[in-house]
Amino acid sequence: MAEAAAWDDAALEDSALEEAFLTYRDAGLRMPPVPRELARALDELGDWHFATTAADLLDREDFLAAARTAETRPEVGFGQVGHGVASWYLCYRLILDPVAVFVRRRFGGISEDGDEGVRQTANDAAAQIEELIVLSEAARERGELPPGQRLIVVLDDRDGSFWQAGDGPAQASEDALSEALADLRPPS
Amino acid sequence: MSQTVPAQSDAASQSVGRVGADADDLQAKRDWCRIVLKVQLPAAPPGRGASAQPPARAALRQPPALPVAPPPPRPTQLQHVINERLMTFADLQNQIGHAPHKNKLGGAWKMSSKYKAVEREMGELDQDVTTAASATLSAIASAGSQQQIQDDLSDKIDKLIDAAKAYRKKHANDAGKRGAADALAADATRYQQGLRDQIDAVFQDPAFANVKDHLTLEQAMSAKRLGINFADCRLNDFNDTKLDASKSQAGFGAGKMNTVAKLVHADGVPRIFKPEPLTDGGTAKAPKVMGIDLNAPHYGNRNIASRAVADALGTDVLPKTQYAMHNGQFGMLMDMAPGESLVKKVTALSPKGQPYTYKSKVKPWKDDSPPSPKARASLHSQLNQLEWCDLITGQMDRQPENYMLDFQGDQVKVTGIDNDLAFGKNSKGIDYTANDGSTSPGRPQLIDKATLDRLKGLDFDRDVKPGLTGLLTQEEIDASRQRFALVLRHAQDLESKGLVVDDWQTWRAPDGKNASQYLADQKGGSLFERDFKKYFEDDNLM
Repeated sequence: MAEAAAWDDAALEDSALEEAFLTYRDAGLRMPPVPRELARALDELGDWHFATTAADLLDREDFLAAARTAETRPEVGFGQVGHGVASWYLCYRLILDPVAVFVRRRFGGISEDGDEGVRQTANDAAAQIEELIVLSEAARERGELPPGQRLIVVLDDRDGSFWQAGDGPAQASEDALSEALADLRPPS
Repeated sequence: MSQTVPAQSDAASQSVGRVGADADDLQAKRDWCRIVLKVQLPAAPPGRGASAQPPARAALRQPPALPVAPPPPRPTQLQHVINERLMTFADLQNQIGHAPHKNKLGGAWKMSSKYKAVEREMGELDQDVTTAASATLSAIASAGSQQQIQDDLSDKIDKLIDAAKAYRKKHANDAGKRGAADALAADATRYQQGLRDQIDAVFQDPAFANVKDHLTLEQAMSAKRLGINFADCRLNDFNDTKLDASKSQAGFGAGKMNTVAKLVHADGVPRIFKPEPLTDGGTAKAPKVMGIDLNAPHYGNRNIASRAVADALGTDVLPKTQYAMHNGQFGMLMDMAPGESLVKKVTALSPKGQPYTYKSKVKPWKDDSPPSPKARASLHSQLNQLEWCDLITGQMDRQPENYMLDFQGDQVKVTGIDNDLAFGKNSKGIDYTANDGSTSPGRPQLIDKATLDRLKGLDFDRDVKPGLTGLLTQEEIDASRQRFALVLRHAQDLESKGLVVDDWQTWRAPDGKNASQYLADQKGGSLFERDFKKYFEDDNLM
């Protein structure tokens, strides 16, 4: 964890990571997790948009193509993106060696006015993704996720949610994150 | 030195940091006025300012208005691994929030006389800009002082440029200071060059009378930076002095990026106000594919132009939109569409019994009150009108949440909202897919007879173009003309195939199917097939 050690208070100050944390916190949102090795590469690409690449956070097809390509390098991006008065989404895009996550939740449009349930669900998902990352890496180490394949989790209010472990079947579920987590947890 | 112009957006504040950026930067050219109106000398002399430590952002922020609940308790081992592996909210919460680091240099700068000269000229320019910008347009016009303001400011800028040059000469051997002085002079020159044009644009707008009693010079210049024509401003009717505060609602929307207000003015009609953005910092694919200039997206204009197309087609499926001012900001004021979208919050239980929420399409009527045949016909007709409007405007985002539905017995109202992503200069065709970032259903598979008749009677240059002129660029209008020709051809093709619907209740396709059945069998091309087919089938309404 050399990177983690180097990421001290001074590195955090005025960084994109700090801005992201503050932006989310001020909106009552839990900033989604950033793997330590990607923290330095995180950039503030625009208001409410933080990422290590310029990928379109709304582009599900682009995410899936990247997630299903073994060579895709690790990346993370998140923010609230959209336009107009109704077309706003809280997005998260993560690709790591064993896991890839795409979140596109409606948030910030006029129909979500003051909707605490939507906010709570977003926060719960951010906490769950923290667990998903470390548990998927543990599963990779145990050999349960073959090299070159990823656990893919998509939480998408627009085109539907699913999860898929490696080349297994895509499991459509609006609770895809919980189901993927349950699948990862070794039997107690 | 203090900032001179209040009520600027966050994006504007960021532009302060662009002082010293590439002089040829496109955005800087567009933002000429913003940059200099906001220009500040650094806390230290140019070239040394980078070492200064501003207060930490965390310390400058207000405490969060919406505290974030702690995460659920985790097994210690799992929490330990997460802490090792990730930068998490909880991790950052422990780190951020400290007092600002002490300014290591104590702020004790030794300033040269040349530096002070630059500072003095900027202070005077600041003062003059503040004074000029805060005068109302009517006061300036009645005093005939427009030319005087331009000349005075231009003289002040000349002095600032001279001071910057003197500073540069004194520090010719210091690359940092030299660069800072050059950047300042370049910004000032750009401002000077644009100032006259900008003030002229305000006073020569043919609809100047619409706004002169409501705007200061600064506000009017802000409108021009946003690409707003005063003809589209209804400030006499829609200003904050005529607001019914008891019925209006600020913060009508949960997102920080989407600061929307519901405003009710003296006429009692609720409308949605959204501040007009100067730029679009997003990375979404659709605007880029369409060729929208993200440095000057002019989304409000695209909404107004969309309604002009609806008017030409004789339909009101797109809302009336104009510009208004609210809390000192220009924004789009859109008639509030009645009803709700198809997308609603759904709460379910996880396998562990935990509730979770997501958004999904939900049937827009109750099981025991399906729409009547007349209501279904009206729904079909208006969905079809919306599809044809979208085809002409090149609308790329007609996702289910972007149109509202209001069912009142036999009466149905369909209203397309969020009409920003239209009229791209690259949108010369009418076939866009999800790969292009489009969420619209594509070429309509049927055409309402009234729509066809209107369409065939339209001449683009005579009937459509006037509604777009001044709102869109020439390239965007040219692309619209090309699109319009293709739309007309597609409509005539449907006509030749007997796919014109004069009565949505009784119409039959050449193969005997009714409108619902026919559209349900098509692959794409209709909002009905994408969004209603399932509900019609479930409730035996086909």
